[in-house]
Amino acid sequence: MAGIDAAFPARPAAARGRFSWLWTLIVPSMLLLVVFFLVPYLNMVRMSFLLKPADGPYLPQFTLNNYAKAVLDPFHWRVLFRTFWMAGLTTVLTLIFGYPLAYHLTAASGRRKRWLLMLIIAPLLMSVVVRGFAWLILLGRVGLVNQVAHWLTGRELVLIGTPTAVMIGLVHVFIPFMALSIAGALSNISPDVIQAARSLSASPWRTFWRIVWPLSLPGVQAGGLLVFILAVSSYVIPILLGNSNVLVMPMLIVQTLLDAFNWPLGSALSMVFFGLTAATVAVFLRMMGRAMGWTRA
Amino acid sequence: MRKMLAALVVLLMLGAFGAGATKAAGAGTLVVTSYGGPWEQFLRKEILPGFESETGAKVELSVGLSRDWVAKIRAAGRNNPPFDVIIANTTWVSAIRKEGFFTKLTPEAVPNLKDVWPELRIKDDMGVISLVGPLGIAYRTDLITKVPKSWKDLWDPAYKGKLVIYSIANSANPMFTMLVSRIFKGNDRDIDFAISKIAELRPFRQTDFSGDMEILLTRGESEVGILDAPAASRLKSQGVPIQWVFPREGVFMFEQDTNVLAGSTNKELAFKFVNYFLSKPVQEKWSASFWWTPANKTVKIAGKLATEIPVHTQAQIRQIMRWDWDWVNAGAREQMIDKWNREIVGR
Amino acid sequence: MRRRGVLLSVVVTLIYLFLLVPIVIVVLAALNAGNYLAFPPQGISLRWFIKAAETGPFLRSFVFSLKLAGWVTALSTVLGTMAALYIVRHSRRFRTVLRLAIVAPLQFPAILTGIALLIFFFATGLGTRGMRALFIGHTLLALPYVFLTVSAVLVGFDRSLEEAAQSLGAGPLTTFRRVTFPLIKGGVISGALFAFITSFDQFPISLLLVSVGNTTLPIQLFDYLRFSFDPAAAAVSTVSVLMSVAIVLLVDRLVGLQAVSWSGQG
Repeated sequence: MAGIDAAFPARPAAARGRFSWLWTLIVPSMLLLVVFFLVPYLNMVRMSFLLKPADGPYLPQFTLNNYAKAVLDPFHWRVLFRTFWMAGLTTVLTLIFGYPLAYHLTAASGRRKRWLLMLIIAPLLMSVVVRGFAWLILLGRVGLVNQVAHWLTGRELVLIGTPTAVMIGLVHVFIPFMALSIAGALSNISPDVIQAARSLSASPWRTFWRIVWPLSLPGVQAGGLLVFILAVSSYVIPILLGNSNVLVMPMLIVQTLLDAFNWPLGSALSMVFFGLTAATVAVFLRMMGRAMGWTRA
Repeated sequence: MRKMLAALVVLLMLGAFGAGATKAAGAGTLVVTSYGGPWEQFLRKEILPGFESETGAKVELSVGLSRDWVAKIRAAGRNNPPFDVIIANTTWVSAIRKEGFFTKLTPEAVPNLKDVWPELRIKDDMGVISLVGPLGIAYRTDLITKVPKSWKDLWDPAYKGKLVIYSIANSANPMFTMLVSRIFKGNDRDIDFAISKIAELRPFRQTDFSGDMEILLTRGESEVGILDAPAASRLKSQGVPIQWVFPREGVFMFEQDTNVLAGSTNKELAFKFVNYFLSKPVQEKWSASFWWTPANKTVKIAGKLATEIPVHTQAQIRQIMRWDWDWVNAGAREQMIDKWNREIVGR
Repeated sequence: MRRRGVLLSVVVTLIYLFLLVPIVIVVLAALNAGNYLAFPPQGISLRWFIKAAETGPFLRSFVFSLKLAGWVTALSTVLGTMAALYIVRHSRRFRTVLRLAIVAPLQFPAILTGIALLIFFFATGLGTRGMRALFIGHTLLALPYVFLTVSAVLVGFDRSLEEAAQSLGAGPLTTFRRVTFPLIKGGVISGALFAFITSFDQFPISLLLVSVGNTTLPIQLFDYLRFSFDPAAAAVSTVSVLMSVAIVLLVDRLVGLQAVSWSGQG
């Protein structure tokens, strides 16, 4: 996780002894995390190695069957693949839409900036559930989008129940996260640097690509990471807009755990899913780390 | 200074956990499950006050859906159930009934059992069906000219692209799958055939829950769907041009399968609640305002109500299809989910 | 140059429209005079607001969500600030591990955390009665936001002021109160705001951990919409959005949104 490290440059620790009691500051958070996060998940790991009898949740008997079932079934890989490409594309799209928003926001000032910021935050303040239902109305067969499409092309679009609809919902939910992350990075760029580039008669386009973009990469990384992780694990939006037709991993896992009553297999599927998410994030961070190193050099 | 900070930390932790422990359900409190929305409102406003004043007890509602309650009951184990009474669909409840989570309802503890239609009693009285929402076909009268009369009509090309069907996450789906097997194959168990047959209906909208089914039909997103009669009557009363059909092969049902948890520490009160729920006045309220078919046979359904509650005579109740839940719970459920995911979802 | 500016404005306006359309739809639906959710609305009325206000469960869950979010914000703000102070400034060897541990709840699918917690709470006999399960689940997810925003402020923090205060004889607590806190206030308040919104809008964790008699607003809305698609739910959402906007405006008045670091480095 070198990327996260980069955002926190090392600081010299305080003189030894003088603040030795300071470690108590971290104790409550760690206690909370160990007891209510680590232990429950370890319990789930244990569950993934237990036997599922035909009638009942699990038996305390060690088996690797759940993992065999989770990994060897090509159907699970199809669902995993769909989940990851949808999250990946969502991340890219939020970047494409979020960047101009962030750029525009940082360039504004005073009251205007305040209002623009408010507009970006506003969607975050409406429950995801309600936004999901709103998109359900908008994208439906008789919804506004389809009315416009019908008027333009004379054809009816089937949107609900397709990956497209899910993606529209996800992009909508996550643009603010991306935009705010990038805006944070952009606002850290000193105007002097840009001024300097300009005075060296660099074109705005060149200034952007050589100065602004590289300096905003930490924000892109932070936003990308956040959006990807939230998108890959999103549940409500795929359910509502995918209309039970776009099966993604969190849905499959919840279904296995709650509908099929198969806790051991559900836990094993979760572990596989975590493993792959972590691996993807690691690759992403490496790539970003390299990109940032390269542009800086 | 150091001590002060440590004390502060301890205090914070205590405060944090103390905040959660503000109230535990007391002895005179009964915990009952409830669906959200109008169901909850009606329960709170019309049904619970009578019971509370009669017994002096307090009823707490756990709002959600069948599958969440069943997950909680399982997670909690037999001896420490999160609820005292669960009222939910048999699709889910049957699984934990088999595992021994419920207790027997005796005629002494629940005298009103004797007034329940025999068809709605459950084997060994390990629970009872207290209300019935018959599931048939509903269509938009303004958009559909060819009226569907049987389940097989759903395969009529006239309805292509206009159908909405319950998804695998809904209680109705396993029943619909068995129904398809039954009407085409003569037995309930040909899951592979049934789901392939349902796949022929594509493209159709899927829905997880009954409210969404109502939205789709109301807005004309879909024009023909599987709907419970109470919902159809409610939508009609709101002015939606919709008609409910009793299909030729029979109906199936959203049943309110009512059970007392074996681990409940409040069984006396729980039995009283079930008894109250089955009593004539309470059942009358459900049918008069919500169009549910009462399980209590002494409730009179007449006049306009008789058309709004299309299933209420014994002959009609006999036409409700019943299923072998033991078979469903012994692996068939998982097989259905799996097959549905592969055949219908995300190909 | 000029043309590029215009182009940017057009693109940005379109994106803002995209962002705001669902909100507009919900507000219009709430003002709809018809019997069910429809678009375009059939006349304007406030009847659904009245119905929502008269509907006990909405009011109850609204109040409950507020209370819960209040507790969650309080605890996660205190713990998150403490953790950030320690990790950014004083930890050495375990720095990365600690930081990853604190942001871990954000990296795991919340719905699974919910399931893991559900099984755990029952396995340990804690159960989900009362508020505690929700309280803990929400705090897990709110904590990282506070930690991240406070950390971001602390990284660019000038230690010399604190050192000056201490050399003048101020104790650690006085130094914190008089020097450190005023300087990191923006980060703390924005973290608290994020924590509040995280809790108030939390869905997947709440779905499994709601307890008897205590339903949070998003769950109540979801349950309601599942069974009845009338505009009362839209009315409640409208009110809750207005309230959240009011809170954000208040924060803006108090510290200024621009001063607040919104970078959610996750």
